[in-house]
Amino acid sequence: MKVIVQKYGGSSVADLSKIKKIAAMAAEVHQKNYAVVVVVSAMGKTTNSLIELAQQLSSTPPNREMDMLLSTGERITMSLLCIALNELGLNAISLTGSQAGIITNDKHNDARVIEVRPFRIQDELEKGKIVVVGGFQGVSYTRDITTLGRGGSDTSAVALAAALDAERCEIYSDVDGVYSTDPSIEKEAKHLPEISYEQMQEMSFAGAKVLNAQAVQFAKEANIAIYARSAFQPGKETIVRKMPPGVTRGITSVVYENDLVKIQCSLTAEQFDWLMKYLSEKQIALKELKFTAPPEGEVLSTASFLIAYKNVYDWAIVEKELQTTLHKTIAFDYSLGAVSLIGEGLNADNSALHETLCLLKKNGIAVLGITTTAFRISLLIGKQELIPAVQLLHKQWIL
Amino acid sequence: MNIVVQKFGGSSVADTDKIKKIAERIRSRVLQGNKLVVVTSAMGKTTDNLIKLAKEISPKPEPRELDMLLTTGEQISISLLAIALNEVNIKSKSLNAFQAEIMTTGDFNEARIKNIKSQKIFDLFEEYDVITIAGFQGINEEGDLTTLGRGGSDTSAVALAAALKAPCEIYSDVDGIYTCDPRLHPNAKKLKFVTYDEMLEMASLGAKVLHSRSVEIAKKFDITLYCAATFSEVEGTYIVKDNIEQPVVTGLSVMDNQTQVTLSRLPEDYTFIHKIFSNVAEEGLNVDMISIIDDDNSLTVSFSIIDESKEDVESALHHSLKDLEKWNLTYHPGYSKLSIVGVGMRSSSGVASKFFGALQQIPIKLVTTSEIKISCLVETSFKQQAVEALTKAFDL
Repeated sequence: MKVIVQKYGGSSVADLSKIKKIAAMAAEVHQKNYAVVVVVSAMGKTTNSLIELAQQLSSTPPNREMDMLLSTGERITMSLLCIALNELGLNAISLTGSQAGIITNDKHNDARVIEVRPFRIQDELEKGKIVVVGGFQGVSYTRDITTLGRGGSDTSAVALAAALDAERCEIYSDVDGVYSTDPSIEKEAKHLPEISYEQMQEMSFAGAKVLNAQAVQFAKEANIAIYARSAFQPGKETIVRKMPPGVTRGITSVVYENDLVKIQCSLTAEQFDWLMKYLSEKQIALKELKFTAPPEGEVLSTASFLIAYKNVYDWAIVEKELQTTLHKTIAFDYSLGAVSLIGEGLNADNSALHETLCLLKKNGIAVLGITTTAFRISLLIGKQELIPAVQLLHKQWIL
Repeated sequence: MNIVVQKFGGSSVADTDKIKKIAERIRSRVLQGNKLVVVTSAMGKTTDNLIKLAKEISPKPEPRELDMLLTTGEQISISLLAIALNEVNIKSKSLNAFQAEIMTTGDFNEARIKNIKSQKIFDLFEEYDVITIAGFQGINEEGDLTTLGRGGSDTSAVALAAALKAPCEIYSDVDGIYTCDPRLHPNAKKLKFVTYDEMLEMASLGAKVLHSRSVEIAKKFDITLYCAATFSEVEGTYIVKDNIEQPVVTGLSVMDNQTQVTLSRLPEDYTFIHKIFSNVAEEGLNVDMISIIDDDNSLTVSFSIIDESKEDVESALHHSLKDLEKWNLTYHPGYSKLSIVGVGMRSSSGVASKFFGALQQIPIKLVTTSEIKISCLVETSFKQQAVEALTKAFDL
């Protein structure tokens, strides 16, 4: 049984006519004798409307109840899609994340998939049915419903593809794949027909919204090729797959991220412990953490890090809590963004970094922080200069 | 543990303001020392809107998928209510049918509850004061979501009350059970007590307040039910095993849209009677009142159905009587059924005579009686006159 997993994002299932089109697309693959599993997101703005309802009731809704609430969005889509498939004369069955065997840890709102037990899916596929699974959701060992955080439906799709040993995982959205930069700010952005897992992960980490970073990690571990496509504009696609090393040397894309806050503080060892514990309890991901131990004879160390605060539901409360506990020594800087060059072998020598810095300097753009890995050079710059910087660097390295 | 089960209908949770008000109401009960299981329906018109979506895709949506779709409505309202309760510092957790382990038969869209594992709820009460549970739904043996059909949230609430051996309070926009529909009889009185049996017989009086299946469960497990209005302090109605006040006639129930079907010139062969009613039953139709008259070597069978089922009845009858000639079929739509109900009838005489005395100016088409009920079918044009006569005669 050759399995194909398809995933459709919120904009691809935004209304009934789109759901009907998707039913036809899934049916087409099924007719080619593939076993088809379709993973769906919530319709259009459903998740946002549900969050709004909850916020009318509480500014700090319990995460566990939020997951109970938000997981209904995908359930609505999956049952409607099954009804549409039935209407086409096909046998289809919808399964919740829990029924599909997606087991997660109990970090509500941002749970990690720890295991997939796809027995029910396999049974239904054996019966010739198309299986439609609610994305973004799973179940913890305590039988509570969990959600997987931003882009979680991608993770559901790839985790299922891995568990079912699928031939590939097709991820449909409103863009036809991955570009060398965000086409909405740079018209000359180049479509990338294929890209390695590592580069894709770095792009996601650096703020590209095409694919979820955990999803790419799963695909890499299970060696499942991801096909990123546009739902309603067929033609181009980007294949994320294992590539022989060295094939894509050099810089392939320029990615940026807005909505970052840089936090700087000087603090005692106890306060640092508290900070790390608090942020991990709140399940807030830190980027670019720098820690400097206190100089001889002093007690205060310094720490700085970045948070993509738009991903934190109750950021206002977190900020207040940090301010109250570390009030004298903490500073928040909301004026920053990051631009990243993604490629391979970037730390072989520092010529790419050097040229980039010179270029930015020549154009009067100040660089306030630098991080490099083998696949990425990230520069912290002022928010206002972000888009010009992306355009400059894209012109320099890609075109 | 002082456990109470409360159920709030769709209009009581129609928006977040109402949910906040309910949370306050529940909070005051917790502060009085109760642990609560709260069952909710879907918010306002949610269920209707979801059905509409499904029907736009398919005129006959697959029942399993329809249940998967509709059960989201209650899951939204229970999680929002739990959020509202936590906001007013009441420890609360929501459970859907999987988590509450409400096991049902596998009949999608009209499943029946088989059992509920109450231990989980007792355990959660160690940590929480209020457990909100999605009404209207359960899971079958395969672990698929099912729904319980009309009035399903009432059924969920009463079944949970039975499992927890707790009283059950049903809140809606109706403030109790009246002796007669106040729209027909403005002087109708609200009843403080109604017995289970009366409630089951007074389908039309009770239907807007409580579904009969939930009354059956309450009766079977002897659960005290209380019906009242959500946003009012006015006392409602208790539904109990025995009414200490013991009126002879408790209420008058009226049902419109009745059709009388009459088959005449049938041969005097009672096997046809069986055939007719088994074919009618196979069509899934409920026949209500029946009369059979044996006259001049031929049979006349007359029965009442609700208007909408005319075509189904016709096909059933033609199927049963296809080998016969000369039989005659007439329909009389536009009838109403009036029933007086009261457990006191069991021990009183003269009720029937008073009933027919009150209606002597009105042509009666069919009559049935039970131990605690007398029903008659009249033309709907006589309905108001009959209601006035009967409420006057029995002081309702």
